[in-house]
Amino acid sequence: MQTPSADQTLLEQIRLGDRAALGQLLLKHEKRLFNTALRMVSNRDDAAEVTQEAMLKIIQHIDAYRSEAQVTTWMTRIVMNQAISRLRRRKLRDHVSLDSVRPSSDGEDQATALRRVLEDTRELGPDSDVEQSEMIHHLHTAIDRLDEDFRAVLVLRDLREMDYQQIADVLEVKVGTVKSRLFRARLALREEMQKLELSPGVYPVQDGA
Amino acid sequence: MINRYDPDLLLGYIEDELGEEDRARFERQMAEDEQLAALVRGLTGDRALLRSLPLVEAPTGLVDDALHRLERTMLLDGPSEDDAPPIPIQRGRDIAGRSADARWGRVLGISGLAAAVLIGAGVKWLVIQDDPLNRAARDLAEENSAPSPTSQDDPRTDRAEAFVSPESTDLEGVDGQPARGVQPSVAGTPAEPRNMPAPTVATPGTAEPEAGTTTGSPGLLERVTDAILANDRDRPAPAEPALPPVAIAGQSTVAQAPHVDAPVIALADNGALYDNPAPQLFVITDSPEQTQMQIVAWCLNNGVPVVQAEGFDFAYGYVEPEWTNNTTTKPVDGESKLALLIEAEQLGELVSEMNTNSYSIEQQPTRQRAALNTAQAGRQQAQIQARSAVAPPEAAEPLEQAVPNAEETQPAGYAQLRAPTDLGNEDLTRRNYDNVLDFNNRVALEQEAEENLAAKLAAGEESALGAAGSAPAPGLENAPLAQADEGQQAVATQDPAAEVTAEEVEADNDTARREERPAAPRTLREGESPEEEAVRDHAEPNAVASDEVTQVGELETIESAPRGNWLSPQLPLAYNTPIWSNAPRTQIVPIVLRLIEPQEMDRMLREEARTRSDSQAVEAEPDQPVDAAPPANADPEPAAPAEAPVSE
Repeated sequence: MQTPSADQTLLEQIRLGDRAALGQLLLKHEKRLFNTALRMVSNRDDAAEVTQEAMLKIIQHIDAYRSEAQVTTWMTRIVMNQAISRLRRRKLRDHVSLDSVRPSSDGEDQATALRRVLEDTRELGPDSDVEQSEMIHHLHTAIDRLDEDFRAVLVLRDLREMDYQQIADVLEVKVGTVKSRLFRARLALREEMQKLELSPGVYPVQDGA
Repeated sequence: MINRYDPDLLLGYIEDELGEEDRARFERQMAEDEQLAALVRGLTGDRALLRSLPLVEAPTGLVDDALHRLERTMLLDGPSEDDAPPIPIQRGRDIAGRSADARWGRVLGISGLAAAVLIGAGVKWLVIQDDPLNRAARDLAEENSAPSPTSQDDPRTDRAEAFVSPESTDLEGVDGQPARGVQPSVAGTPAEPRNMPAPTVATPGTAEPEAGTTTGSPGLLERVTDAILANDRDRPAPAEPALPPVAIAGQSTVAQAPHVDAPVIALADNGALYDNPAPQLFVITDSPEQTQMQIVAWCLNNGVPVVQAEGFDFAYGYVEPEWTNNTTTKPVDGESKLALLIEAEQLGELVSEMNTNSYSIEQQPTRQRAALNTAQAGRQQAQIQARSAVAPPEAAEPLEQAVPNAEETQPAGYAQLRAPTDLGNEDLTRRNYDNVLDFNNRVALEQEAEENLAAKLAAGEESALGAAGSAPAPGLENAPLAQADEGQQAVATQDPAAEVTAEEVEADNDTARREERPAAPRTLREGESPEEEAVRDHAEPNAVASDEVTQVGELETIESAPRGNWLSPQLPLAYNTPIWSNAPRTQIVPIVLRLIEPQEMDRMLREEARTRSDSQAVEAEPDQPVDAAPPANADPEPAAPAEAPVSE
């Protein structure tokens, strides 16, 4: 893994007009950016488009980048914003938010969410031996049902393994907000997982197909 | 009890960030609480599972396609990146392997483009060769080796400067200076040639190339063809807005934000946030006593469509301080604001309306509305008490079931709150329950009042509307509270006149609005002098027109929107949380956007001009009697009327 200084070197070369350095920088971060987008939008094609759009923005604004934040943080912020923007457009388009019952990052305090999860908390019993692939499938489904703000903080924390400060930098919120949001995101994820675990065959397909 | 779980402790344990002591303490707690232990196991398992997800390989060609797209954009310098459709992602081929076909295609594309540019330039050159104006210009240019000075102030010269030959356009260098010795081909040529072929006039904003533009750049083909075909000379300049915009899509601009003690103090368009192209309007309040649902109710009552009442933390009662930078809302002791995300499409129309018309955010209630609210508050209180006596929450029946069914008691299209079953505290639960009943009853009563009013209007009983003026004039901030007692007394004594008056007062409001009757004369508040009233009028711009408030709901676009599906029954979340249930319920004091019709604006401007001319006449001729001033019907120069609404 290259150090941030390597990124800085590439940036300097890019500013001097070295196009190869630009490609090198993007290639270096391509996989992580794509995976960030993929976990956010839950669709490979959409993730590819989000990544591509983010790369264009990175290229366009690379002159404006200043080294207050790490390059990876800056690039992640761009791809995250693109992904969130796409999710919101999708949500507005589909009006999903009004018709579905989802855990959301609004209107619910930690105590309420915690209470609801606790009410449904049961021993997994034999179901705990479920195949890993099925669990991962459930996990994807559950993440897909989360609000984009929750998704973002989970992706950054668990997928990108960022610390609170880095997440705060990416999402441009305070560290306290990150912690609060992360806690509620975990509760919301647990709730969705419980639904999926306890109702096999019902979720995610409800039409019996 | 839920509250015994410390979220920080719980999160710290899951994230493995606790110290030894805290960790041991938490594990002891888990050992005693199997429910907590199960929750922690679940959360930890989810975290581990999430972290175990493998990274997926990115589709090949992402970087290459991005660079290709960038290259194309730079070459064409046409539509912006945001407008250009994304290039389809090519998969299953590596960067090196795809290069041959792609490069050939690219070469062909570039060649075709270059050919098109050359053809376009040739056509343009041929057209301009026949243009006497440009012939004269060339002659002039040949005679003068140096460019002639031009006057920046002379619009004729400016326009002439816009005439450029193909050579000069193609070869303009950095900062619009001619490159490689090419001289400007036009200087001091006649500005308004008639009966000539359409000259090539650079479109506004393109006459001066940006720095860094080089040969074959900035939309040359488009400029040439557009100029030839459209003859930009005759194209009218874009009209300046008659009034300064109050809302600008995509620029996080506050529409207008007078600070008043009311739920909604600002309408901020935050479309620029997160690069979201859809305009989003946030309704922001700085009153910590307002719940999300109260604002939702405000929006519903005022015809503002609410599609999404969720979103960031602020719907939960929190607004990042930096979000308020562009608004007049300020954090109060770090406390939060509430906001709502409004329907994007319709808000786009609303923002457009706000930009093309003159709006002011006005404060409700009017005197009539306050009187109506007062009567309703009394009645609902009585109903709440009656319901509480019949179905106390301590009964075996769950609270949620005790709340009247929405379909039974609520008209379609109104928000229906659900009472929480258990907030972990009996008193809190009880209060929430009362609040929900209170809200639901209020909505039902308002609907009932509207139905009664409609029935009366249908029966032609408009004669009793004269009592509007007798309604006490409330103070803007405390009027509802001040009058609540009166309303309760009216209900307590079962005085039918009080209720009729309130409803008819509302009818008066509506009727006056529809018939554009002049506003009823204002009355002095208790202990208020005329001077104080004048000051109050100045401070409360809505007061002048308080009897003819026009609500957003009267906008055609908003009014035509269906009301039934704006809210999800699952929305009232914040309302039911302990945080907000602790706050006392406050009167819903809506602010409405007031559409000032062009005629009204014209009338207001005339009145203002007349007043000004009167005062000037008096000042100029102090010895003359006042009646020597211009007659009232001698209209001064009418001010420009407000721009007519632009239909979407």
